[in-house]
Amino acid sequence: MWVNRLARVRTARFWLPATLAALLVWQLLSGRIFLYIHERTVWLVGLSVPLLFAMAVVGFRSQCGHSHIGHRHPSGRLAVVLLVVPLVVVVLAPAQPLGSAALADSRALPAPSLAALPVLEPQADLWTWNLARLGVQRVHDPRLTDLDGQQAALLGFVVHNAELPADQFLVARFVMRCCTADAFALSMPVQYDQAAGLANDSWVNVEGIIHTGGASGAAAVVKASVVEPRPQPSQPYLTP
Amino acid sequence: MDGSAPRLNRAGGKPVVPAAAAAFRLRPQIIWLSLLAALALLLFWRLASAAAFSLPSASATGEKLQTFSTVFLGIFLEALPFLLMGVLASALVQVFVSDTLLARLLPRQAVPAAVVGSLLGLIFPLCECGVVPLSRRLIRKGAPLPLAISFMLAAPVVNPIVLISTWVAFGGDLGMVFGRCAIVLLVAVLVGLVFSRHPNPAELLAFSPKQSPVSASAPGIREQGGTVLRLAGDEFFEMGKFLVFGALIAAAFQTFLPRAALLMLGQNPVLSVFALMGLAVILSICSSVDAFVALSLTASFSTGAILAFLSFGPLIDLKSTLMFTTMLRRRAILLLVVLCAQIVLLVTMIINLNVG
Repeated sequence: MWVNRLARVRTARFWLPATLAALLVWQLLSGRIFLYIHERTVWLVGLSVPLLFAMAVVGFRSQCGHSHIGHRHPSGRLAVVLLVVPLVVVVLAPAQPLGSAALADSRALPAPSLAALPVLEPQADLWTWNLARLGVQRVHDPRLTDLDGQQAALLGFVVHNAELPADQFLVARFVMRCCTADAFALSMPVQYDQAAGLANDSWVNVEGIIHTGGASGAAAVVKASVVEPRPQPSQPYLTP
Repeated sequence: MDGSAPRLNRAGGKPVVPAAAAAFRLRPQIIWLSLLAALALLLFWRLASAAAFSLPSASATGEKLQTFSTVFLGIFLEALPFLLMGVLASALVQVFVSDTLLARLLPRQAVPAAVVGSLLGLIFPLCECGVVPLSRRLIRKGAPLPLAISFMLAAPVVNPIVLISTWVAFGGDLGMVFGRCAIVLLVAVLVGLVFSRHPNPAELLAFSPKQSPVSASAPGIREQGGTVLRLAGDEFFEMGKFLVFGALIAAAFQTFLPRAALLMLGQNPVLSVFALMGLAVILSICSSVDAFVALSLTASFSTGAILAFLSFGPLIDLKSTLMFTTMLRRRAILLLVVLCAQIVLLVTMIINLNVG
């Protein structure tokens, strides 16, 4: 059976490193790699490509027969099966960044006290608050009481939350330091009459005024004057 | 695995497979079936999402699977280059460093071996994915077990890249850098010394320490290069499966286990340490960047808990623990995990009770 032949370790020592290398090349050329890891470490993935190809060439030559005197290759059909898993996931799973589902359940971390956050998003107007600056501000001022009446411009994806009123949604974006395993979300509620018409995970640019609850203790919200649909950025995460 | 080759029967040369091993033989078939089932599930999910499947439960499952696949690929793609560096370093040592040179350079007595091993990361700056193949190789080249164990435990933290990233993450706070470094050095040396007390260290290993398949005497540079790549390929196959399996488990934990439950334990001097040790194991983040994640926890957790996160994660996480199985027997791994956990717990709780 062809599957058995492919799973044979001797054969796999050629096609598996070659396919993994081709997968990395595809991820690099298509820019999909940015959905999974920080741009800082992408060059390391690039370095892996020639090494995997070289392993494949040596694997191909050993298929053609070489002396096994003095050494033997580890057996391991299990290794072949498991190393195929990333290839299967890449081919079959839609390539998407972390989105509303990841934010909803398990990926909430305390507001980070990161001095580097303000430089996360390029911004010409220092008087306008973006998601990163709001994240830093929340560390010192969780209810954002000092920002009442100030301008906000937020780029992120839409998250509908059952705990929010019907005319509100969250605009959110993940911060990634290394890879998707360490990503955490920054988000801000937005009040918008047509909130229900926005799809979860669609990207929007929101402009508006920050309103805080004042003495009532209600959570801060951006009352939107402009909500524009935007394409998902090539780098969907904030990457300090 | 090297140590589990079936014996040959004298008459026909057919392998004699013990009963337990025969049962074990079912595993590839089970794994093929599991893979096919996973494939079918992924295919269904792909078709369902393409057809804008409208059932809320199916949609929620699809979103979970999406998060799972994104986190899994993140961990795999991030760790793959480091694993390749590790297997390449291991193959280079095998081909270009002779056993006699290594024996001359490395100490044999337990205490110096453990101390030198715990500092070797300053020369070989490898993270937890790359350090296991090199540790195995050092043992195969005749290095004493405490040296290899101490190196394997300490190198992911006691190396220049991780120390600098910790220093940068904490805005130049040397206390965190020294604290993290000191705890990991203490754990690495103590665990190395405990392992050195075993009367026959070879019994703790999952492979035969005497196997040194290729000597440093290959004829030309071309042949040596080929040998390096062949050895690296062998080891990549052997270690890669654990990377994939560990990444799958870590991604599943991250997707389906709510972090909030762990994070609620906050400032309690004892529970906060347990919580962040558990989080470090689950997240399985590379040691070169975990300080940045730890920083985001400083507002809610005690100093001891943060140090526990920074120390225990690089020592023991899901993918590295699975990789340990290529080097140590299960009981030895259990001992190693328990010892690491005990020492980190003890030290960080003392810090919590005295510093806060």
